[in-house]
Amino acid sequence: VSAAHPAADPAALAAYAVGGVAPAAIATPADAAALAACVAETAARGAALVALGRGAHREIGHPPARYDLALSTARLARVLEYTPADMTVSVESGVPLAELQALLACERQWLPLDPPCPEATTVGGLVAADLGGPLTASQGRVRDFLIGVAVVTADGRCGRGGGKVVKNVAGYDLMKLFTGSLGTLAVVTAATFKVRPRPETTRALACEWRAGARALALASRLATGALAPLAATLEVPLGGAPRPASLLCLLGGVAEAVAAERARVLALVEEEGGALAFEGDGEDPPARTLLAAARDFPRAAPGAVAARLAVLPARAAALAADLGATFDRTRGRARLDPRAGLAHVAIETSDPARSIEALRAVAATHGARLVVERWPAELAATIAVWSPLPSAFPLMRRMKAALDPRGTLAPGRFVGRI
Amino acid sequence: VSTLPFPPALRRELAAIVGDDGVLQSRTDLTVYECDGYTLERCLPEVVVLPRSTDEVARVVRAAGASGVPFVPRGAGTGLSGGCLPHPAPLLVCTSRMRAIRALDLENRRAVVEAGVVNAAVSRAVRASGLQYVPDPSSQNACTIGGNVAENSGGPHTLKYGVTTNHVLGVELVLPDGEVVELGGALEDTLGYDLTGVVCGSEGTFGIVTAAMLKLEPLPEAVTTMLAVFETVAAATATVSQVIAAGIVPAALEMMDRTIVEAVEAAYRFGFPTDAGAILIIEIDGAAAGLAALAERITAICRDAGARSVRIAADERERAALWKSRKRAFGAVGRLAPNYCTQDGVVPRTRLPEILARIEAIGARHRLRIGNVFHAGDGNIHPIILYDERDGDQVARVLEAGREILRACVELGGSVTGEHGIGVEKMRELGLVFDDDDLALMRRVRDVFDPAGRANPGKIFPTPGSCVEQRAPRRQAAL
Repeated sequence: VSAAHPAADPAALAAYAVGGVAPAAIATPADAAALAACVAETAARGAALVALGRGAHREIGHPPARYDLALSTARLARVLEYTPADMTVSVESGVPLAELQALLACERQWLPLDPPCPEATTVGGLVAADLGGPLTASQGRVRDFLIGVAVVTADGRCGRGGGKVVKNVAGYDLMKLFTGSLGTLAVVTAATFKVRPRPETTRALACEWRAGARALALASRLATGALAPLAATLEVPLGGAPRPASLLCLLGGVAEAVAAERARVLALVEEEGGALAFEGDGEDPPARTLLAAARDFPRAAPGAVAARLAVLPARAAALAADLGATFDRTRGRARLDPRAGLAHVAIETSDPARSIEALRAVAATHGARLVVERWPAELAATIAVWSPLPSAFPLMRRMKAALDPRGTLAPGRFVGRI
Repeated sequence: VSTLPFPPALRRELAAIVGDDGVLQSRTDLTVYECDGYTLERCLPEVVVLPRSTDEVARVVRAAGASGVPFVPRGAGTGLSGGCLPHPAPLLVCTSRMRAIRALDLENRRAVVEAGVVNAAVSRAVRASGLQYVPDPSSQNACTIGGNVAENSGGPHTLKYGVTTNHVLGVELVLPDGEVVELGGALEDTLGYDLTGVVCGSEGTFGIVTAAMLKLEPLPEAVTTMLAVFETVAAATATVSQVIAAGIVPAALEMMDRTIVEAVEAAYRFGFPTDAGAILIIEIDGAAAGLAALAERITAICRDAGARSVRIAADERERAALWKSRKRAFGAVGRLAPNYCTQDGVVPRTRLPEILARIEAIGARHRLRIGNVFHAGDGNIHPIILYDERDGDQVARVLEAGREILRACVELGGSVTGEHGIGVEKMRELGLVFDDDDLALMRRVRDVFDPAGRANPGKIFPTPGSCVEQRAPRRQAAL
């Protein structure tokens, strides 16, 4: 292996900082066995590690309580198996999502998950942070596509769940356990996904409103109505932002179905006072640029505070309206995926602590859940990233204690600082 | 009969919790519960309790725990791997009286139902609102949501829509110490570890699921169901791969071979050609626009692959008759032999031709008749081995043939169960797909929910020193 590189130069270590904490060493194992050895060694020393792919999403979660080793999956970058006619693909966890998608695209297939920054997102990061994007509402989440997983547990042993077939109930569904666990239960070394054919035709529509309220009326109808676009995401300005509200809608399927749905979407938009501003093939560069902007919003939008709110779809528009009212004098933007019941907000605030509490209050009003995704470093010690805590939190603590009794894996990073 | 003693005081305590009409103890009553749909092994329970509420389940579990008696959760008993065989735990906790649909939220497409609600009842309750609960195992008119969650059940429509776990957002779970926990909830977004996802398919070893938060889906705008008839099994399976390779994901893609078609036709008189080698049922659904064109493309693929005929169900009545024939195929098989054993394995879909050839060879070698009716689009095979349980030698050959088929699935890159579960049937076969480290990891997960091993012990995991023989003396085989 790649033995760990203790006391590498401070700049190199700083590049692996998580939540403002830099590690003392970096390891870049060449394969799963070497990675397991790194974990075992870390555990034996009573030290702690954080596994990282390309680190694009490392803002998610609390800062680690202890952080000695940055364990990089960068060299676990092999495609293990891809049989297009089986519609399954197995890859190591360091493979960037964009590369995986490029491979699948050669066969007119895709993994219909679209988190921000796919070039900088590894498969391991996708799974560990349970990432998604505008496609979530129509296509589902990581848990719906991950059919097999290989991990290294905190004791440095390898373990597997699932397999390579699309339907499989042999043994416990460990894929679910590790998806979204933010590396606190095990380090993912390989993953197998079921994939889908790409839609034959896609069409992107961008519509604009001068007033946000009418756009939210449309959001409400999209959240619970019969229309089922591949993605429909609204960007609404908060206070002080000069821009109008806009809808980006991606339709997909056979050409006749896309044409029929296009007519229905445009009729709805017109009824709610919006106007078509752009239309194009979903795979052409202009549409792709718009889609990428919507997808990257949570990462790319400016502001000291960024957050995600999850709510029942029928409450999504009301939640967005409330966000607008609460932050009517704060510059910021919100992106709403009504059908998925997700709102992303980015706020350029001078009082981050107060803004976060205001967000928490809005969430509470609507029975929503708040995940603070970006905050200033000075709040690191006190911030509650996830709220409210789930009622099954004690069981989750027991899960952590059972799988990582010494707190080797990303200690303190997860919900309730597990 | 179970080997563990059953404390008399516990019998009285259970009756006090669920009422006298909620406790079954007579031999006649208990006989119904000696096995599930996997009938090769049977064991009479000591007591069956039928609680009516989550609170009663919790009190039953606590009382059993205080007496050191482990329990087995059971729904309708339609499982096919012996998951609710009352052995070694002598106490069955049956959720069949918990039949309330607690809440319907049509706007957000959610339903909260109790564990004993029958699968098909959920769709019936929301159909008028244009919604459905998608997972539709063949036993859907009997099987319960609690059992579906425990087994992570599938069905014909999983190809496009996924299995139970893809439609369950949360569960109410009575832990083996009697604590009631809520996992997941109405929101899609997972908060903390996805314990709901781990409970799905845990076969009752984490406790007793008493209610579930289900996702509902809109009924498709249009549905087209097609019947394609082939001269050979090989031509039918090749077609399956070609449909998938063309980028088409049907809602369902099912196959029946000649043995099954003959039995089904004799039973239900749908009008299947009994001289065909195999038939495919192909269902597509979605937006009405473009569906006819898609059906034409599929028809062309079938014809290019040598289909003798391709017929589109003319109306809803014909479509329903077709599905009835498919879903009741197992019942029809009773006409062919006194007994049958349904196997459940999975291969990557491109390996279907190979696994079917192997099944045929295995049947010939063991002098057994094997029919095939299965979820072809998923690569999920269901060989049905016909036999007569009065013939001990035949039973032994059935067991051996079943194992050989599963080994073949694994050799081809598949799994030993796609939707029926490990139960008692496949404890040994689990070791074909997972090594000791994998199994140790799974046991650690189990211990988090059930540290004392009270919930459905003796299932899923091979127990060292016993259970190695399928007909171990501690479990009674149907001989």
